[in-house]
Amino acid sequence: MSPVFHASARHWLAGLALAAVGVAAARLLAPALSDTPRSVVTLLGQVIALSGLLVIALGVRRRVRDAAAEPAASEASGETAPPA
Amino acid sequence: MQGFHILDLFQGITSLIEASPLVMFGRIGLILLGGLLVYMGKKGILEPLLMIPMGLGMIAVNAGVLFLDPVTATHIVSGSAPHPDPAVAAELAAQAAAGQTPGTLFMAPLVEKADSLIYLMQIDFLQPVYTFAFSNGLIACFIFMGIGVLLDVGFVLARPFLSMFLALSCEFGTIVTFPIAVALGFDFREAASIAMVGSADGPMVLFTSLTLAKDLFVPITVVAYLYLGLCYGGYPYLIRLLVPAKLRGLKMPAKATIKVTSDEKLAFAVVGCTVLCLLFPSAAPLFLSLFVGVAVREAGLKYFMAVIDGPLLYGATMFLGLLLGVLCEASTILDPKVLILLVLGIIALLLSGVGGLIGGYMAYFFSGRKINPVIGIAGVSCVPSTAKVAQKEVSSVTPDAIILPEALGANICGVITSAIITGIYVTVIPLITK
Repeated sequence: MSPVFHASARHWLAGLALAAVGVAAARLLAPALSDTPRSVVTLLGQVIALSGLLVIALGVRRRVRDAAAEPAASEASGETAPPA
Repeated sequence: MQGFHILDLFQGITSLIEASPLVMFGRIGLILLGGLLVYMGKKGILEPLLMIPMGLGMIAVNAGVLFLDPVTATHIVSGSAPHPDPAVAAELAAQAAAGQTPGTLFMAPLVEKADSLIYLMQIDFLQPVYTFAFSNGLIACFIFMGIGVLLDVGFVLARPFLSMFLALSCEFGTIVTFPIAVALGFDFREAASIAMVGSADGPMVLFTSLTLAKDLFVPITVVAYLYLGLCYGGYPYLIRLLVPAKLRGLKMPAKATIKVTSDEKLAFAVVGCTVLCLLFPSAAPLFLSLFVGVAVREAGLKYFMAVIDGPLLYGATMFLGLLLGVLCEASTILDPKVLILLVLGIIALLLSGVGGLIGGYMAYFFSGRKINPVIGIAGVSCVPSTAKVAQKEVSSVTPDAIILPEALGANICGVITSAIITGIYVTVIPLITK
């Protein structure tokens, strides 16, 4: 696996974990609380869960940018693709 | 032949004359409006796929009122929610038994009781479609599936910050219209349904109003679909008003073609659908419909794609237009609240457009004056109209300036954001109003 995919995988894992924490806060933790803390924790959980999706999207963007930069870097260093 | 009256042959005219003046003029007005919609659809001023069946349905239902036979009329009266005034309820029952109840052979949208519905399905030709596909939101979900198949989430994944920021800015109207509607006397459920008009997303408005404000869903949905045409016709003027030509023609720095793989898009659809359904189960049918469309597209299931973006999407659109038109029967739609709805709908869409352009300006300044602020309006989720409007306005000033990829990212993210706002409204409002 290339370093580009390693970086992307880290974002995917972090995003999934963040989304799971957010969902757990909004759906499991919040209902057990009283009125005001419940609203705060629900909102916070929703924001955290949606941030998880944003982290995944950022990972994809980074993977795409790095992948686009790789051929440019090899062209600059004079490297060529190995013969098939 | 004794007791025969020549007007019995032409009950459409008799029922028109015998109605109250308000209903009579309402029917004539709606027949004329239906004709206008067909004309505007044909001319391309409004969306023809929706406006032509809707206009014709509106004409037919207001012209085709007859006096129902006593059995059908009794089923309609006894199958609907009883009138709050017992004297009026008794009068309606007597009128039904005497065969003097005006109605149509299209459908009876207010009937709720199962046995009456089964009877009416054998009488009214659109009743099965209404009961099994419209009143439960299935048609909205079919359309959303079609939208999902047409969406490329790669545009969002390539520019997540910009897309999400602009999409959130465009929810300005959806959020601000809610307190305005409450201040004008609507309850929270009705206000949320009206505020959703600001998302400029028909299926979302339909779903929210069916879930939260069933008594007002006909006028709200009709207003929403009529106003969708404003995104195409009115937003260019808003852009020209708020963005000077120099900024409209701003060329953005050229970027390499971005390739987000279909695996990544499919995985994102799966994760996105799961997380959003876990957060907002009340709007889960919408999320599933949208992401199943995305998943089918990214998995390359060509046969399914052909079904969803062909017969399913266009069939649902045609029946949606037809049913919306048929629901516009004068005695159903004439409500003093409709006038306020017309005003609130315009306010919601205007505020969403203004919010988007403010977001566009913020992106322009934060990016060091590199991002064209016109892109902001594309966050209004009328796919792909607002993205096309943005590109057209930019091209009219600088023909070789391309903003479409960024605009589509904001546009697609706008659909997802509107679905999230729908989820928040349909989840939170019932809890507040308990």
